[in-house]
Amino acid sequence: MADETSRSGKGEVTGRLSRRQFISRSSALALGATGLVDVPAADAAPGTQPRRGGRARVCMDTSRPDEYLDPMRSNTRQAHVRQFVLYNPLVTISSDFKPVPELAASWSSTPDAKQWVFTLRKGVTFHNGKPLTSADVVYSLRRHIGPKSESQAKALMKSVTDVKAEDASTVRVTLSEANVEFPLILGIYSTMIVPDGFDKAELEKGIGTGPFKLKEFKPGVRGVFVRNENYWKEGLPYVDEIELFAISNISARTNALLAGEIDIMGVLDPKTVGLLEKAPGIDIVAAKSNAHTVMSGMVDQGATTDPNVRLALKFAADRNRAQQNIYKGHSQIGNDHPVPPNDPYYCHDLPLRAYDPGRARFHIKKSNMEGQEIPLYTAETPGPGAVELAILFQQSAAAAGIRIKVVRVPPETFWSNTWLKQPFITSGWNSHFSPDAAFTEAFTQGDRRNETHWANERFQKLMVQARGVADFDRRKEMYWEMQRLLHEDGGFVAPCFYDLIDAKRSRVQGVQANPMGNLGGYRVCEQMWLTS
Amino acid sequence: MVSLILRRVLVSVAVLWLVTILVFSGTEILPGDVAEAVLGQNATEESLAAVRQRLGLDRPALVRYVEWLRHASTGNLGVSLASGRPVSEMMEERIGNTLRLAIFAALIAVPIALTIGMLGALRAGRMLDRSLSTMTLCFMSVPEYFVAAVLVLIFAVRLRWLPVTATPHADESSLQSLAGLVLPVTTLTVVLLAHMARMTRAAILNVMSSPYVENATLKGMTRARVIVRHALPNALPPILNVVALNLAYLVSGVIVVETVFNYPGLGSLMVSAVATHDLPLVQACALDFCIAYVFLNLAADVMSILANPRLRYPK
Amino acid sequence: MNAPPPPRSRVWTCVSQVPVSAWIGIVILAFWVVLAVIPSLLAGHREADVLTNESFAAPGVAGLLGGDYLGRDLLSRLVYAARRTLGLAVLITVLAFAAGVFFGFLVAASRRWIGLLLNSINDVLLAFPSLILALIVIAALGTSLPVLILTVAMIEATRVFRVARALGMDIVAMDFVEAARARGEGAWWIMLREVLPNAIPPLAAEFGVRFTYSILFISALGFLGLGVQPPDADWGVMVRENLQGLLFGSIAPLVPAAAIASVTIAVNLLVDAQLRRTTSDVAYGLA
Repeated sequence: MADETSRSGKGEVTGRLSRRQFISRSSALALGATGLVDVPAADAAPGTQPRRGGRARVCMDTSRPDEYLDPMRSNTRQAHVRQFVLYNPLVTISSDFKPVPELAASWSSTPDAKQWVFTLRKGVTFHNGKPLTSADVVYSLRRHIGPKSESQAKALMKSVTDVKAEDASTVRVTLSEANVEFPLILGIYSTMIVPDGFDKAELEKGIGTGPFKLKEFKPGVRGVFVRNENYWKEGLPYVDEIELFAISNISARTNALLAGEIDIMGVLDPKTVGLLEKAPGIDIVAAKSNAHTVMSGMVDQGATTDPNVRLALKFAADRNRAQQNIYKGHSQIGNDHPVPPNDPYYCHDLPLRAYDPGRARFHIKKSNMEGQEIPLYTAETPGPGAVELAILFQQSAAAAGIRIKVVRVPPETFWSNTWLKQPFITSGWNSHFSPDAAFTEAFTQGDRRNETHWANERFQKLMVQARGVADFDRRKEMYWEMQRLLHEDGGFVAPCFYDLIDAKRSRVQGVQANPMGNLGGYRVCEQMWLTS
Repeated sequence: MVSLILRRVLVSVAVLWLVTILVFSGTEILPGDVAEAVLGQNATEESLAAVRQRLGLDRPALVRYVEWLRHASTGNLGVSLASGRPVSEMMEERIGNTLRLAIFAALIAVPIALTIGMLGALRAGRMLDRSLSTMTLCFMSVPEYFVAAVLVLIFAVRLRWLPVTATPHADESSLQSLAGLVLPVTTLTVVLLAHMARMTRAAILNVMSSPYVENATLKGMTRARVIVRHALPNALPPILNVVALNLAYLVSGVIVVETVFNYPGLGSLMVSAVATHDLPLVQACALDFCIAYVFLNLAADVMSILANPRLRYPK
Repeated sequence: MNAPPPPRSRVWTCVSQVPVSAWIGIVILAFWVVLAVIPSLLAGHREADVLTNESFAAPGVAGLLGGDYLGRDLLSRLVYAARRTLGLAVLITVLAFAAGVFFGFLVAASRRWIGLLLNSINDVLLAFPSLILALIVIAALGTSLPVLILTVAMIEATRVFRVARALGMDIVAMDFVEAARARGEGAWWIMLREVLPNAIPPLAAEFGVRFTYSILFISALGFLGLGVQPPDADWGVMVRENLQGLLFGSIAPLVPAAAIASVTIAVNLLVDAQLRRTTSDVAYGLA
């Protein structure tokens, strides 16, 4: 077991997994050593026998009329679930963020971690009967690179310079820089494997290697999927049919679960956890995660240009209040950088920044901004609790002489009108598979997504360097320094990492919480079964 | 009469054209564009440029507008920028839903409202009028989403008589789809009914003050007859106007109900289109709503004129 | 011969003619107006103060009526919201009526081409679904209070225009207006002296309706994430943000909804009384 799960990714699995093997393996991973998972005992107990059959109604939080069956365009959490229904990635990501063989049976890299060779699993076929070959993998990965690519994973795959088939079941990927964690990138919802050479029209048919086949898809309304009888994982999936849709109004979604109209819902309001726990026939599934809603200020525009203002804002955040009031305890306290306390790379040396209005006032005075209005743009879009965070922050900052003006914008227009355009906003970052992913996506110098425009030479150097370091302790040292830099000088005020909370009816079993996303890292459909 | 209608139709076409210009400029003014909306947080400068090039967004605004207008005048509503699907296909999916909701709500609300209004005028000042008045007052004084939330809590969550959401599916029985419509239709009816009923009552009472109506009453005609034969025809213009306005609202403006009941109608389609700066889709929705409005108002005006001959011959 | 009864004071005559229902309306409105002016009478905390981390706290910990979803005092927020809601609604409705009635009557009483032009402009604005129009305007121009007021006023004005125009046209078709025209009176005079006095009763009804619709429209905007900015309280926004409370059996969403209802009812009671006063007894069927 240890072999396959080491971070350098030398997987050693060949052939098909028997059902029992798969269940015991995934249970072991789920109960993972790092205690990242917070799952009720019943679901993880190996004693519960899976039952085949039934139709499950799975409900997520948002859907849009412009959704696609194309994994590289996956644009809502509901879409992410759908990708795992129809397709498979080369690897999956366990709940302690290790790559687990999926379509790739094994992989290895050159010592400089710049070349990766993936050996494909044998005997896998697409929904149309065509066998999986390296040509499909090459085609799928190439979609994410190049100037014409419109893929969601384009930034992640930036370092890929070449993808080549060495033979029918081997693929070689060449990177421009060393990255010991590269396989993890191939485990997310957008880098799924699709059939070779399919033009857009074919893709719309949703042909993949996944546990379910497409029966019906109405973008913005719902999708219906039936079991893939030739699925390469023996015995899976258990349910006959999945109906996947979204109810955006959270009260309506919760009500639908309570009324028995849906079997499992993603993204539960933390306020209602206590209520639902008491409701008969309903279980809560939760995972501690590294996703967080933050307040981020640009370092080159507006009031947050001044480092004193940034420090003042950081000291003016009442993290405990946010934790208790907004997330009702279902969160971890953050220290103004994107690594949560339960991550092995978390910097324990850095004292947790407590709410200190006195120090905040000191810093704001130094910057001569005391009493001057600082607008904070927010909407509910970027992440759970974004609006409430802004409201509470305004309160806690007032005690330090900082005048925050909350400006709430229309939720649908947040990403295009407010993000990257206003200097001080609430923002949100979803689960990432490693601290490197978190640092890269939000803090790369010159990258569009660097919303704070923070440019620190030392940080950049460490970040690129660390990607090639396989040794845990050396890496940890580098990450600790990077966390310190962000903590002191960065533009993030990051008070809480929210837990991923879902709710289900008791008839749904086999749900394994995964910090990579709601509904078991979006993979719940493949693993769940219905007891009645 | 015919020339009047013709004139109105011509004016309506001009109005529609003005609307398309308004919509185009409005959407252009909004900060951001389709590419940003579609790619979201994971966009890179390169992928944004790729999307913009593919969609032809790098051409000047006027060129894009004229091209759209040219296509639209031949009935080709174009392709949605955000999803790549034909606009007509996306609208067809939802028009049926919106119309179903609107027709049910209208069929229930309008007759009841007119009846309540007339009854109120009939028994003006007495117990029946007072209680009807109070009832309509209560109905129209709370927000729609509150009414919806209370109805859902009672009938869907606690009693489980009706479903929480109203999303229609092809594979459900007609009984199921009807059941799904009950709560949203009730919500809409409750709110609209009040306004129409009160306006009806006020308009009738106003006309009742005019000399010839008073005359009819004093002559000994029963109040009911007076209302139906003399007051109502003259009170029709404002009443019909209000009815038309509300019907137009039903066909386009019920976003709140669509959101609460997860009902995929034209309202939420348009909001989503605006959010993604999807110009062809926004234009198509706007045109659709405006055509409905224009048609309903034309119908209301024609009926008013038919009812009040004086208006046929403006001095 | 008996002495004539002592003349009653004019005030008493006026007052005694006001029906009971109107008194109820006056009392309710007066209650809210007083609170709007002197919030400290009932508000124990500032509207943004967070008192507890518990959502929908029971009365006691977080004020007389309990806490809202964020742990703030419901009663205090309710009182401060009175000022905002009523003030906004009055401002918007007055603006809407000024514009709508003016243009509506102008069209009714004047030559064709003005009527056509104004009608078309109004139709363009009216044809567009109001919430979406507001969404576009506010998304483009920002969520500040003036933008909010003017946008909603403009939208409401289009509705008033229609009603005023229909009423005006109907009255204009009547004989006495024909007579005035024949006498050579201009459009202004006709509007002011002939049309307006006869249109007041239904317009009064419409004013009451528009007033309440302003309140509801602003709260619908709040539902979409527009409208009054947090943490400022507005009754509609309070209903929306506390809607989850229904699940908890909390009164948090019910209280502001009741407040909206009370004002709506009060205004319309007054409007009804006014309508009654200007409608003859014969018309009411009471003679």
